[in-house]
Amino acid sequence: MGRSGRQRMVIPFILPAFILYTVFFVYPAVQAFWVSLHDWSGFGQNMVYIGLGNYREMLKDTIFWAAFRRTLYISVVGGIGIFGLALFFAQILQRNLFGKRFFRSLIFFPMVVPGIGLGLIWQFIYNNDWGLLSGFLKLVGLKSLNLFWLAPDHIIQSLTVAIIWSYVGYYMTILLAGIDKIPVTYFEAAVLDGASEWKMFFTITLPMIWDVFVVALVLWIIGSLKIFDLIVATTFPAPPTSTYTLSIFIWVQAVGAYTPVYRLGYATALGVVLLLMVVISVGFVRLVTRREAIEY
Amino acid sequence: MKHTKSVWFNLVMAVLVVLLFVQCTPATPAAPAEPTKAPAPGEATKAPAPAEKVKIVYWSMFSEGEPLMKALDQATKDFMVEYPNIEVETKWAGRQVLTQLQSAIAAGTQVDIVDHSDDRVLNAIVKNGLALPMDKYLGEKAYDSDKTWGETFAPGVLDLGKYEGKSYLIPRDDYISAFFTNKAMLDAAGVTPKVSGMTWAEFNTLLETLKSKNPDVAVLGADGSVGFYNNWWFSYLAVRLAGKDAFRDAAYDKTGEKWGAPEFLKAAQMIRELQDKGYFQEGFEGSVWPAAQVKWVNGDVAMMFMGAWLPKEMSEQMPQDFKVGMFAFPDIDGGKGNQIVEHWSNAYGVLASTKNPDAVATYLKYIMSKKVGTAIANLFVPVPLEGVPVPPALANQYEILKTAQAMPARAGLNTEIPEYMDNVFNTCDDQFFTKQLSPEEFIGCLKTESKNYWAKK
Repeated sequence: MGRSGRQRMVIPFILPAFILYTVFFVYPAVQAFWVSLHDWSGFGQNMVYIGLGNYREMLKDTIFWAAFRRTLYISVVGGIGIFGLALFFAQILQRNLFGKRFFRSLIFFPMVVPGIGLGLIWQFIYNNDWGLLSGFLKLVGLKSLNLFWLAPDHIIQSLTVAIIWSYVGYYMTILLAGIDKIPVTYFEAAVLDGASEWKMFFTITLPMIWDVFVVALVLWIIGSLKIFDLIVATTFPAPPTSTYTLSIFIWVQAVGAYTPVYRLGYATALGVVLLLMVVISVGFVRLVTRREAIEY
Repeated sequence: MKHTKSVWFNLVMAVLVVLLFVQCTPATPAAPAEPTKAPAPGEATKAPAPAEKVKIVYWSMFSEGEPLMKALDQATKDFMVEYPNIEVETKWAGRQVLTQLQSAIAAGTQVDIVDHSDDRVLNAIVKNGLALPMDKYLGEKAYDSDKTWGETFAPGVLDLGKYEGKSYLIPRDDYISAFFTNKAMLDAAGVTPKVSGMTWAEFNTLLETLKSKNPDVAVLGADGSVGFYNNWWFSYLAVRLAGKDAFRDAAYDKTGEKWGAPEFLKAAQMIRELQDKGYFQEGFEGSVWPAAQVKWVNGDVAMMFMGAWLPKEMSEQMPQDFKVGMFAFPDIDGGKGNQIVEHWSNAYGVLASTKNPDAVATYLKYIMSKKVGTAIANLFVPVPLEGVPVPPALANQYEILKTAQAMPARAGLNTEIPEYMDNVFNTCDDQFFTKQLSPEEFIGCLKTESKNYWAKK
């Protein structure tokens, strides 16, 4: 069979997936863009075409820019915290330690709790009167370090800590799966050569799990830009404006929190921007992390 | 081969274009169902049962298991026994019912009745032309009274559901915002606040007395995480000082300059003074609902400014001997908006697309009858119907409404310009109330953000 014949053969196999992808992803995305060009409450058919009006409004919207900055803060600071800790724990838990499986499960545990449950746990931890954190600080005589954790000045930092705690186990597990596949002889040889732990990490572990690391990073970027449930649950019933991330701002504009805003057209435009952010961020990460694959 | 490729390409593109075309073509809005002709006054005696069995669909703001859900579910079952030709299908959708309604309307799913707070239902279906006016039915005989249905409601409460002169909403439970006190604590301190008409000076004396008598107790409680609660303080004081119209004018002012009126700065300064004197509980800025409310029922906070749902909301945590006191927001000497109180309701709205408006009205008349209203009121929920007992903790609500002029939430602005209220007013107020902005900066924020907001529109 010639090249053109093979191509013809491929088409029927690709077509079902292509149609499904088109119908369930491309088409809604195009439709979302179409909706974003309208002033629309979301109720009824009264859609008023305003062209790029929603996008122009976004450029001048101070709440949007504040939400954008918070989203980036969570993505960057949370990412550094998560991958720093995930690599640290993965490095420790790859060894033959007593209780290794238990600790792996323990660190992974927050991932099996729904975001709403995690939010309630962190509401409890951050309560200033009877919360775990304040109680601990008072107990060890560090009352002066006790802050109003969920006050506007600290809330995003507090929530970022909660997010790191919640996700570190998930990314640790992904990285561990990569580390576990590295032949142990590499480490043995490095030890014989007198390599330090740091040296082994940077010259063996990290390069050899690089593809896994990049996939985990991409997953985090996608997840962090859309983060919603943990913040909403921690600040239930109405997230204060000081916690608005892009996804929360979209929700508030689409359906209102306490005030019935109902701007589905504008919210959809925000959603389109969020989608673009995800695509651009992932593309950027793929670009800067591109390296030659190591095979072993 | 080229030919085959282009056939495939054209086929796929044709599918895409057809899909887009179908979606992008605006669907014709469903024509509102024509209400049946109104009978002459006195003609209607009892709601007639339809000759053939009809089904109506009610999407509720309550979730499965909530006390009010159970009461409404039972009432609905009783209704279907009494009116066997009307089947009521209920969906306990919860507080996001209107979000779900967006999809339902788009999909053409039959929904006849929805309920939520009046400002939400007004913005969702009434302002979008999707609601059925209920004036005709309000003029008919009530379920268990000789009066018309409209006459069985407490005076003024139906006004909450009016839009452009027509009655769209049927209020089920109504609320004002007021101070809720730990009555025993106030009694022990020897203070008895006037139910309404207290002056600001008297209010300050009350706060100081409570503080001196109970140094370990916060006089005022607030959950600073809820912007909707925070901005009660400024909006009330602004209305008291400048008057309702001036408050509304400032919000609608395209230049934002009207927020520069001295009364608004004064209102902000009065709030900051209360905060600086330490009347609010420590850390109120970061208090997440319902932490302050829990402190209130536990005796760590003397009083809270809140909607009248508070006693019901905290009923399970309240000690058995906890007595709730209630008084109106104080007046200001020389103020232009004294004796005004926020009043709103959770209300039913009927979709104009209903195919059975008469059956819907029959059902709502039954639900808003003395019989069912009493069952709801027994759950400590205030029901604005004649002859329905008032929950004891909320007796003062109707006392306050007797003397005060009622206004919708935030002088009606929450309903009229919710986007402005959320994106400008609440955003600036949140920062002010949680002490991130000084009173002067707060007014500056309102001026700047108002100007920016209206420039975008």
